[in-house]
Order: sequence, then C-alpha cells, then structure tokens
Amino acid sequence: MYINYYFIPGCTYSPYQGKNVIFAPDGTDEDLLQQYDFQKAEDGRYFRILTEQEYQAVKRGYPNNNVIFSYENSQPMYHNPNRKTSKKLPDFIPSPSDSETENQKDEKGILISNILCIFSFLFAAIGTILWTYHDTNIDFLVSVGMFIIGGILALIVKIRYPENILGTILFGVYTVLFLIAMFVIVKLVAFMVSCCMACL
Amino acid sequence: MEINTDYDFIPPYPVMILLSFLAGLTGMYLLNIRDGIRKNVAGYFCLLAPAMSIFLGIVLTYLSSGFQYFGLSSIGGLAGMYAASLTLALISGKPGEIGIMMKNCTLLLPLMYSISKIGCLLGGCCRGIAYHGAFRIHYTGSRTDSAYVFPVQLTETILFLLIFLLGMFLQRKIRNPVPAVFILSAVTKFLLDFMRESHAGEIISFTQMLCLILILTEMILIFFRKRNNQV
Repeated sequence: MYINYYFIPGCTYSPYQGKNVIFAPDGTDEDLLQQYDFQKAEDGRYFRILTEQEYQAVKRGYPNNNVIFSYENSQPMYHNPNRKTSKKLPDFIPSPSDSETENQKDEKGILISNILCIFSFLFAAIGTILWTYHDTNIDFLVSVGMFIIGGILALIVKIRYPENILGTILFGVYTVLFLIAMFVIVKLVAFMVSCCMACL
Repeated sequence: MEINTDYDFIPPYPVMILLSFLAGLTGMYLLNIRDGIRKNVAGYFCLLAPAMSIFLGIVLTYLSSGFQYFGLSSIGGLAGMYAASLTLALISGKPGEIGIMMKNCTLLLPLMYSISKIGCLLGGCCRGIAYHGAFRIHYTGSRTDSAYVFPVQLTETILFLLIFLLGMFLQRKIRNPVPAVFILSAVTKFLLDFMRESHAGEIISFTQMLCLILILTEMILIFFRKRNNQV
C-alpha cells in the first residue's frame, strides 16, 4: 500500500533515524520534493518527517489501506484497492481557499523580504562609513561586524525568498566585494603577517 | 630542520591559511551535499564561513590581548565556523540540518587546523619551547631570533591530520563521531600548548582555559544526549 502525499503519489512509510517519515518513490521531481520539505537521506532516497497529526492519520490506515492526503479534504482518505468503493477519490487539484492563502503568504513574503533588504543595505552602509572613517580598532571591528550582519540578512532573503530581485542584487554585490577584499593582497598579506606573530 | 623565515615573494602564512580554508570548505561542501543539504545552502556556507571565522578569530585575539593588538585565534576561528554552520542551518529552516552541518564542520576542522599550522611552522610563529633534541627546528632570518625550538607546529599538523582521518573513518562505523573528534582535538590542543614558547611563565594559558571549557561543554552535551535517548 502507498501514501499519496498531495502531489507526490506512491510514498511509503518507515521509521528512520528515530523519526516517523515517508519516503518518496525514486524518480520523483526534486524541485517538487523540496517544495514539500523532503530531505535527501544517505542512501539517496528522499524522505519527509511527518508531523504528529500526519503520523496519526497514517497510522490509522497504513499499511492496510492507501492513505491519500489532498487539498480537497481536511482529513486524509483511506482506500483499499482490493475493495470496491463508491467514494470518489480526489484529484490533485488545489482548492480555491488554498490559492487565497497562498496569495496572502506571497504578499507577506514580499514585504518581509524587502524590509530585510533595506536593513541589510543599512548595515552595510554603516559598516562602510565606519570602515572609511575609523579611528580606533573597535570601529574597525564594528564595521566588519556590520558587513557580516548585512551579508547574513541578504542570505536570509536569498534562501527564504529567492524570487526577491533586490535581495539577489544585494547578495551579488556583497559576494563580489567579499571576493575583492580577499584578494586585496598587499594590505591583507601585511595584516596576516602581523597576525601570525600574534596568533594563538 | 632549518627554516629561514625570510621570503622573497609571498609569505607562506597567508597562503597556508587560504589553503586550509580551501581544503576545509571543499570537504564540508561535499559532505553537506552528500548528507542532503541543498547545494545553494552548502555553497552559501562557503562564503559566510571564512568571513565569520576570520572575524571571530581576530575579535578573540583582540579581547585576550587586552585590546592591544589583532591576531588570528584558532579557537575564535572554530567559533566562527560553528557560528556560520548554525546561522545557515537556522536560515534554511529544514529540520535536522543544524546537526548535519555542525557534524561536518567538526569533522573537517582538524584538517583545516593541520594545514594552517604549516603556515605557522614556516612563518616562525606559535613556536615551541627552546629544545635541542631530535627533530628540533632551527629558525633563522630577519623576522625571528635564531633559535632551536621544539617542533610543536609540526606535531600539531601530524596529530590533527590523524584526528581528521580518524573522524572520516569513524563516521563510516558509528552514528555520531562528533564527540570523539571534538574532545580528542580539544585535549590534543590543550596538551600541546604546554610545549609552546608563549606558555612560558603560565600555569595554564588562555587557550588552554578555552579548551577546557570546550571539553566540559561537550561532556555536558553527551550527558544530556544520553539522558534523552534513555527517556
């Protein structure tokens, strides 16, 4: 018997590394798997850790029945292919209410990602000003810290909201600046030589 | 062995530091991909890790010197690598990724330290106590005093390379090699610090104190892990 997990049919249940998981069948599209939070196991198969609710639902029907998760029903359906049934099995079509929820999530995501981009730019700008006008060693350290925080914020946008173009541009700029900094040979080498004499 | 610390073109120390990052980050990237981390996340780690590692290495030396000078602390660098692993795993938000990235970081750090110590050996820093026995190093050149010293950097290179190889072997045999590799690395660094010239006049150095804290922290984590498994 199988578990049809929304758009991923043919999954199988098995405990794995102490957790209750479902394994996707071989050959399933990797992008689709990542959308549904499937992770790659050491043997190359993809698995998804079930929530407690999902696990209880699977436990009720599997392995005697196919378990069908769908957007059309709030509770999963159980189908034994060896028995005749008059129930109409759901197609894999998202319901309109799910579309509305997705739209709301998109708008919220755009707002959050743009706010993160703004803060990322602000941190990098403060870091640049401090770097240019630093008088003390503390200023120098704080400026580098600001760059790193700005970079981390840009990373959050790049990973969580990859469709945000501003985040992609900011991340690209930071990457180029970082690589240039690594190759500023004269100052970096002299700095590192003096570090060598003081390294622990 | 005689080592002349004068150089004509590029000093060896920054070259070995860059090589250690290259080797370590390549290894971590491959292990992370193998263990299911997304390629883009594993790639971003290779950008974030050197920045945080060097930054925290500099900060720790600055603090420990009483705000006197900058340096590159290996333990600060270790903290930076772990901080980068944790940051990326938290940003990515997938369950289990924190453990995977921290594990792979721990497995590759001994290799990075081993390679970086070659830079210290050739540069003449972090050198050993005065020593005239077998395998002594004779430093010459305008950058250091002429001295016969214990080859502590070479010893660290060899021992940490062995720890790295042991970690790679153990990860095929046991489920969680991290505690063994972590504690072995901290104990080795703690003991070898006694052989360093900078340790003269101290009962226990700042680096050794940090090593003890790391060992204690890992043992507490082992205790809680075992207790959770029993429950």
